Amino acid sequence: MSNPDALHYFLGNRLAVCGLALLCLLYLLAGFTFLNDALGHAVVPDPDELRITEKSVLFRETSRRAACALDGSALLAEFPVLSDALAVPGKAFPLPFAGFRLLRQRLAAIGLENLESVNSFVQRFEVVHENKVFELVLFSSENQPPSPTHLFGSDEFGRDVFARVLYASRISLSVGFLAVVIALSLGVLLGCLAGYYGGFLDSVIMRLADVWMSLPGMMLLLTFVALTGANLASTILLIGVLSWPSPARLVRAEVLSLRQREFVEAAKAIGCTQTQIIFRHILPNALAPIIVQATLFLAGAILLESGLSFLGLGVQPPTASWGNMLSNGLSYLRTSPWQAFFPGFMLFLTVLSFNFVAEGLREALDPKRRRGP
Amino acid sequence: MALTRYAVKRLLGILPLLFLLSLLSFSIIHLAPGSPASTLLGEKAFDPAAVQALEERLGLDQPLPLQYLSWLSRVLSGDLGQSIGLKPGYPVIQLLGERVFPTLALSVSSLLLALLIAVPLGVTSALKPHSFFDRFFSFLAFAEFSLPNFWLAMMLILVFSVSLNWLPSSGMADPRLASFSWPDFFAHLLLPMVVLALGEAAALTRYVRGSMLEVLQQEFIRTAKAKGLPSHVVFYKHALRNALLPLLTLLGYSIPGLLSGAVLTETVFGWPGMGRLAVNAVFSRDYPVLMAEVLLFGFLTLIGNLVADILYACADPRIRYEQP
Repeated sequence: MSNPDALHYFLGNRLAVCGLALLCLLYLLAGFTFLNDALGHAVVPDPDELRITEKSVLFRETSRRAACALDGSALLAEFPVLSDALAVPGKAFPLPFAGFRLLRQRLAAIGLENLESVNSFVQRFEVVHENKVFELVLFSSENQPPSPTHLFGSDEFGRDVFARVLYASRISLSVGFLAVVIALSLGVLLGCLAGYYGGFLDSVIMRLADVWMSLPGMMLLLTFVALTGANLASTILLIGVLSWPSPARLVRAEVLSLRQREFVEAAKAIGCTQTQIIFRHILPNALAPIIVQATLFLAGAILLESGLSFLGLGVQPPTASWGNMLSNGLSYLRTSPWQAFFPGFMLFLTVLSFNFVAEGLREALDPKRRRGP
Repeated sequence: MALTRYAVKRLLGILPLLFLLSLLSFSIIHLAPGSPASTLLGEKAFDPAAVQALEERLGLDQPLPLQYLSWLSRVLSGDLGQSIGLKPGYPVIQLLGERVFPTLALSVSSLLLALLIAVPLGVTSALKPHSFFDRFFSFLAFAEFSLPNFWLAMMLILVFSVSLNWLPSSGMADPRLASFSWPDFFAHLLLPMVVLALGEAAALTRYVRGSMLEVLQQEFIRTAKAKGLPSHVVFYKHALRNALLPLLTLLGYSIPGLLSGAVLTETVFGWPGMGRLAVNAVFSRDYPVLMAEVLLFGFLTLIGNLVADILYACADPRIRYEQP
């Protein structure tokens, strides 16, 4: 984008600028979750940090016995652990596993007979935290529709969907980013080698790219996941390694046409090494299409990751990713459709923005593709 | 004559690709954690005698190249081994065979629907480039391109199955029906078909538009106009025929996309196709099924590309048969 004309042209493209703005916002929000981590989840509690299983068991247990009991404060006096938790707003429920076990045993032992209503206890819990918007993430009711307290509703464990979508965004965005870095470094390197040296090396690399591209990507991903097991690192690596052929082809074509040019000859004449010629003279001139391709890839990689996670073969729960939130949403489609709608919509917006930005870049960087007045 | 030579050349060119593909499929079982024999035996792998017996029976004690050859000859004779996780002991070829019809029905029907949507839209867009119609559908195609198709599928289920209760949300047949009925089948097919077709149509529309615009720039169109032919003849006879030629190639190349897209769509709709079989095979670590699927998907893709190229060469006499 060294060319001011290109920048001007890009800024004139309203859709691309909107896309870019939206992406900036998304990345800011994702970055904010890291800051929030550092502050001990002071602003938005990480819904996945809650010990969901224990909590939901307790919740179910208490709601089942909702008929019996006493005042909420009596319950709090009875169980100091709970009042501790309430006294520290903004902290994830700090109950250790054993503590909960104990609590549940004691609840069972007294049969909750001296409690007025467990529901009122739950309500009381909510009242204490009413002044904080996302506080209810901690111990809210399950499957709540979107409301001012839960912007995007809550899921089957009572986790706030908005908070989860936010935390998932950083997974999805960074997976996409890292995968593209891997794909581009592989692709650019192989493409340069093939394009510059030609001959046997070229045909080997390009045949390999042919085979790679002739296999349905999803099938290869599935196979590799079956071999390596599903986790975040292997998902990133696989998506990256899987997508090397198209940048390689692109770079090869660029290098092929550039290496015939006079400036390369000049560089040779003044005694540049081959590495210098490739990386200092040829590659910077081939950068424009690579940038466009990378932006498109980011969108593709995010889609692939969410697809894999949707199948249950990518990022594993309880770590939130848009994909696994969607697969969760599929099972609750009839009862709480917001669980499926919001993560998917965010995914759609992100991919759309990347595509708009890529289109804008393409038009701005390549004057031949610009539309007439 | 030149065409035959071209076809033979392409056929020969595909052989090394097939070899690499088979090598990839063959290596899956060897890359799987644990020894191949214990993997194949699954639960019974604790018995060393059984492991050894299987190793001898399958020739797993022989050097790898020999193993590859014997595996290849078994595959070529139609023996893809037995399933180990999904339906233990069931022949893989039968397992795949049951899934061929649903996958084929889904992909062929969605491809047809995609063409039905894309060709008229693309052509109309190209006739008046940058008009409102063109920009509107360009935008739609762009949006659809970014739409995760499994999310679209869920939203369609939400509208048409959950809210309106018009269409079934999953499966291929109503379990309450005693026998197969076509109306029921089409009701189940409709949603997955539309989801797959929309994704495909977005790319095709852009392609048809571009190719039509390119043809309209050419001189024979100007000649036709200059002759005084009515514009609908110029557009729909002279231009359209030439513009649709490259579509043949694109159809061939869209096979992997269709199959990959089908993996997710089939999962959402519980469609008993090959994509879902692959996902289930991954979950139950059913390596023989996976090997067969990789082989089959890759083979279909290669054949699709080959047929597309040859068809294109047949249809367009201008193509150069000699590779540069």
